[in-house]
Amino acid sequence: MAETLSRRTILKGMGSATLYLLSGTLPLAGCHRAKPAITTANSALATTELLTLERVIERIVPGNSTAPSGNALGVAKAFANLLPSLDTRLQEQFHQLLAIFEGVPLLAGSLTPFTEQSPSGADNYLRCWEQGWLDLQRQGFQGLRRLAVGIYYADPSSWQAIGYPGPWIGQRDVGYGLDNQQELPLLNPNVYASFR
Amino acid sequence: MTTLPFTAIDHPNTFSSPSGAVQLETDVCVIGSGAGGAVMAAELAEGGMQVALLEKGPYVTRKQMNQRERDMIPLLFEDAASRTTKDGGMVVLHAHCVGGTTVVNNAICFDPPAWLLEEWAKQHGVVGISERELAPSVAKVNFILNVQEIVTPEINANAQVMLRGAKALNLSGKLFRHNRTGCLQSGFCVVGCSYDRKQNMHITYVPRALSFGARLYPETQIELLHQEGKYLKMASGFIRHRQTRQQFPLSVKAKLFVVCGGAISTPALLLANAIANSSGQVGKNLYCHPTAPVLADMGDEVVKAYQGIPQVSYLDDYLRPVNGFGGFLLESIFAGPSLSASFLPRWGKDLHEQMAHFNHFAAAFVQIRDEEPGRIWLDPSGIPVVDYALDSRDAAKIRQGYRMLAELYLQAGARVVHIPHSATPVITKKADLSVIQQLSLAPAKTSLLSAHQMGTCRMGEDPRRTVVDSRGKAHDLENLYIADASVFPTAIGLNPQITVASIATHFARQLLRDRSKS
Repeated sequence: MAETLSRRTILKGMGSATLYLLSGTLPLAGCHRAKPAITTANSALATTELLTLERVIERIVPGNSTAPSGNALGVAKAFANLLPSLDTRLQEQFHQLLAIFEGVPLLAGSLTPFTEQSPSGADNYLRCWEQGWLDLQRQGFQGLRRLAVGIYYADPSSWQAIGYPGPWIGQRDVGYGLDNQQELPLLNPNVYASFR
Repeated sequence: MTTLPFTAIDHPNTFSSPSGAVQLETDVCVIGSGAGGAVMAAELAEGGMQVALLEKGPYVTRKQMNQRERDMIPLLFEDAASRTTKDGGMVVLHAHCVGGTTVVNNAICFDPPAWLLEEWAKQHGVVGISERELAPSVAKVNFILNVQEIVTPEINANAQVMLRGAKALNLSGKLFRHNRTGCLQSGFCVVGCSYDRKQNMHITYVPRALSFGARLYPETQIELLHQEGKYLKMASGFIRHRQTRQQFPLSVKAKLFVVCGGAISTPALLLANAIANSSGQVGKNLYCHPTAPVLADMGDEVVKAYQGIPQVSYLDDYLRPVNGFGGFLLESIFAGPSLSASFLPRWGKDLHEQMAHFNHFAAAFVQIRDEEPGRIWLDPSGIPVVDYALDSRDAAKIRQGYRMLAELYLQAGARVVHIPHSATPVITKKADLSVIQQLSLAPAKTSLLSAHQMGTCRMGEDPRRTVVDSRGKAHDLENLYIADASVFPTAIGLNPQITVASIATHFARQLLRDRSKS
């Protein structure tokens, strides 16, 4: 995977003729994919990318008096751990998305990159992407939103606030003789039966 | 036949610990172990053939199934369920594990309807697959999978809401048939059944195949198909060691090859090898059953749409269009926290406010029988691209389904109905329903997903328009068969596992008959 995201790569990846027309006027200088700061197996996101993602998560899944915030639950880092298991094209698209989201503020009608926005400015920025006139923006926003809320609500720490009791395993299945590590009897009599 | 343990992961015929390059020679090489491949392997092994069943994904047993989405989705789904259509408008779900998508489905069983088979015969030149001709295969699949009716005590609160609304609208709310035995109603079918009550392929047809002598090779990926003249001679790729994760080369020489990777992976393999495509149809005619969820906040009524059997009720009044209206199925659905939050078009403070009503959500979706196909093609690195866009006819069906579900939920007493659309329409009364007609369904405006992909190697007798004949044999090759949903000439509108398994059974029986004649 290329470490630097060139303008040509971005445009090719976006596949948007409309954005291509705009490209001559857009400041893409901020769209570098920075070198990962850490070189472990978990270095799927560069430090700057992680910062952008954490800021997005802060606005999409903030905390309140009963629910922890997405960043308190480490949603961005959980995604960084998941990213290497995706196919390389999806990984590249995600890096491109973050680069454009942060580096092309004009798409949100602003001159200030996302991570430098005030809280209300960041919300407006996200709204511009949510309702954007380019498919890329709406797709990008929905991708980020689904990622943030999907990982957040998969975390048991988010469940108390919504009254979700969690899985059966080790809780409501206790007493059924269903120890997860035991073999179970064959209940379907037909698996090995002859059929005429 | 020998009696086997419940699952086949430790069976002597399951091979998952290679120590070097693996070279196999067998009668039949079946690639893919889902509703088509597992059945093909079992039928052909039962018929006396030597079968190697290859599966790209791991053999995941109930001991690993912990009912947690964050662990199970990456383990069971291709690309951790993050694959989308090229335009980003629809999430495309596809499992990769022994048993394929049957491991993560909701065990819904529809027999292939007579009208569908007639349509395939009359409009698409399919021969020998009438309701009568397919009946023995359908009956066998129903028997092995122990298909039965969902019964009244199993109707969860989510389905009760749907049935109540349907009755008020004079629609015919029905209960699904399913392939579960002794279901505990924990509700976690979509991340694999922790109790082995769902009768998916990895605990039914796969062990059955092994009991007849088939050999199973999990975590085995085929990349190359070697052709000589009108025959495939060998398939090659790699196999991964279950414990060490070390990868070794693998090759399989066989008399017959049966590709059953599903409507994305099957055409991808053929396209990558430039075979069986003289018609130019491989990868084309992709149907996806676009599916659009709706959530209803039922006010004070506690629903807990994550409890009980995940999908219990449905409405098929408008599966077949009436006077230009319809072409969709409405199904109640499981709504766990991640899924519900993904469907709600909300974020920030608003998300928390809505999710505070989580236990009061009823959930269902519109599943359309799509008419405008897309296609699968390979990007330069060989990864399949799902090139699919909703056309205006199919978008109209989704709006009609949205409206019917919203009206149904209002009739059932909903406080507010949420359509997962970026315009965040809020429907609290009948007069609000008109807003649905105005909703744009441009990519990423609304939440869409596809759990059923079909049609990319369609069958028929005309080799210029179809990839395989009505017996599943490739027109271009003498020993290549395809037996999965990619052979469907059209979308079927119904959950497809029984249709796929029945057609695979039918193909296998014919193949065995032909073999005994020769």
